[in-house]
Amino acid sequence: MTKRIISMLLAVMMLFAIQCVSFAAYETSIPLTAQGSTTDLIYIKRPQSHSASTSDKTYTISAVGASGTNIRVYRYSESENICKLIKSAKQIGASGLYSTVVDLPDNNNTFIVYAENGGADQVVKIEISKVKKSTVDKLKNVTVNILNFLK
Amino acid sequence: MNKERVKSIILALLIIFNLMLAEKILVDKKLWPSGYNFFNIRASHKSDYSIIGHLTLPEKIFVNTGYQSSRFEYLRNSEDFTKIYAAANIILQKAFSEPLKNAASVSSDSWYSALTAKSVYLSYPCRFSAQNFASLIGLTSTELSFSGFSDIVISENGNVYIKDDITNSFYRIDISSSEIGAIIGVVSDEYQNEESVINYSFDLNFDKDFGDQKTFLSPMIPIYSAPVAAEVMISQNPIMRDEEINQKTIGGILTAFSINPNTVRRYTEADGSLVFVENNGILKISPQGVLSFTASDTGIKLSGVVSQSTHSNISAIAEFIDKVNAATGIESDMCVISPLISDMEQSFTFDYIANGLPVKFDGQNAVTAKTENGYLAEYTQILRKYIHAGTTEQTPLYIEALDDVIADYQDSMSEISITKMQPAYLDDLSMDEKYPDWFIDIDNVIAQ
Repeated sequence: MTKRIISMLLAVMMLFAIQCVSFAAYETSIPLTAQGSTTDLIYIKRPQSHSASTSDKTYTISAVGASGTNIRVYRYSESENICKLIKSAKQIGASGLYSTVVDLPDNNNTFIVYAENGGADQVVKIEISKVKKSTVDKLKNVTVNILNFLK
Repeated sequence: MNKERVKSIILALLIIFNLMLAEKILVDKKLWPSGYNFFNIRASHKSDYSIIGHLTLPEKIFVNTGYQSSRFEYLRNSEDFTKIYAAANIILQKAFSEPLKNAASVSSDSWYSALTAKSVYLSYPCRFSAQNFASLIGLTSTELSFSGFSDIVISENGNVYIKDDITNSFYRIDISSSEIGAIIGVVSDEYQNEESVINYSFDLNFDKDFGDQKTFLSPMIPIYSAPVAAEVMISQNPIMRDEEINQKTIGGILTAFSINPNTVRRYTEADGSLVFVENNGILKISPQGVLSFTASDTGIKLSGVVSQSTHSNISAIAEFIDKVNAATGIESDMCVISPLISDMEQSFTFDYIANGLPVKFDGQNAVTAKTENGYLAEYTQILRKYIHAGTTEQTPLYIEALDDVIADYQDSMSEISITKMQPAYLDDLSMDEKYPDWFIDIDNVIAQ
């Protein structure tokens, strides 16, 4: 029985250790399931709904936040089941504005925007999917036609 | 082989060529292969710097390729700019000749959609009323009645979108043209392997009030993803030569101001400034290269003034600047900065453009001029020549420049509005190298 309790304690300690290790590893990667301690360090301005479609090879993410907040961006790697650092820490300055251009290598791209300031941290998941240019053009035509129809 | 047979062969060949060309026109319509770069055709004329000929040129042109942020910028010193503008100008002439009923009021969404689709965006350094713009592009009049605009978008099919800044409304004039579409096709082909990520502020929602934001950028401010590279320029004062005042240049200036050097009263001030006093007014030229004229009576009669219209006044002033620049050997491009929105503008300001980028002096413009009844009443010019240093430097990232400027207000402000942010040469009047940097125009600071 004692052995069993010790084993369980060890298992629990292991779980905590893994969490700590993963937190320390945020320097280069972050788990997709990571949670932040707060939700108000930064506000994502683009994509406003945290997901978007584009025909571009790149996408510009923008955000606002308090001066002194550090922001890192990670991209999810399906093969390794982890989000790897692609944009190293950049501190928000007096303007409160932040923007960064990310490459879109896959049809579905998941990014984690990680912000930290004064011991608090925030994790925002962003999904960017790639669509063919012709599809975007068709959608634009449909929108324009509907707008013209409504006039 | 007899003569008749040779004639028959030539005739047959001509018919074959004729049929081939007809097939191209009827079926393909494309007489040049994809990727053919007509921008490489050398311009037949040498670029000149006459201000009068540049009054309606945009400060810069953006070609929007239709991919959300893949855009290309063309400055006034590039040959491509001249060619794109020539195509745009034909469309603008047609648009401003249209009757008023053909200028449809559209939503802001239509304007922004045009900017994210295939189009060309013309960004002007000053605001024009429809009437002033039309007369400056050579039309006698226009029925269009925009109060003040500085942004025009032409879509790939030739539709012209205009944003009236004063009434905050948007218009579309439908013009059918394939010129702009062809240019966008050439630009896209030319740069298909190059990455040029330029967002507008509205793309990134930096103009919209959500998310506890305190810095607002005007929607049309271009946001460059990387530092902007430009040649270093050297500023020169044409008044000085070998540390002495160049008397030949002074003579040229006096002629431009219709001052007779033999009859004018002159004296030198303690700081070395030369002062010329005549019945028409007082002309002062400082060793630092600042020229100022104040009329004491009616002033100097400006040539070519036929009415009190803005067009007439600014044309006369532009011609006068050309005279001063010619006298001082200045070959810099210049653009109008002051708004041209009323029918009888009399005060005008201009800035230099060096290497395609505006030159900004701290708190003043390169030229400030005032007319009264066809006479020059006041005139100030910072006389400068800008020559290439032969090296290239990069600006800081836009956000670093923005942070630096806002840091000065950070403790006392709750909101700040930026109306203009662009790469420029910031000139502190010193005679040294000028590096490309950011010019940031703050419109409004709301204190805490």
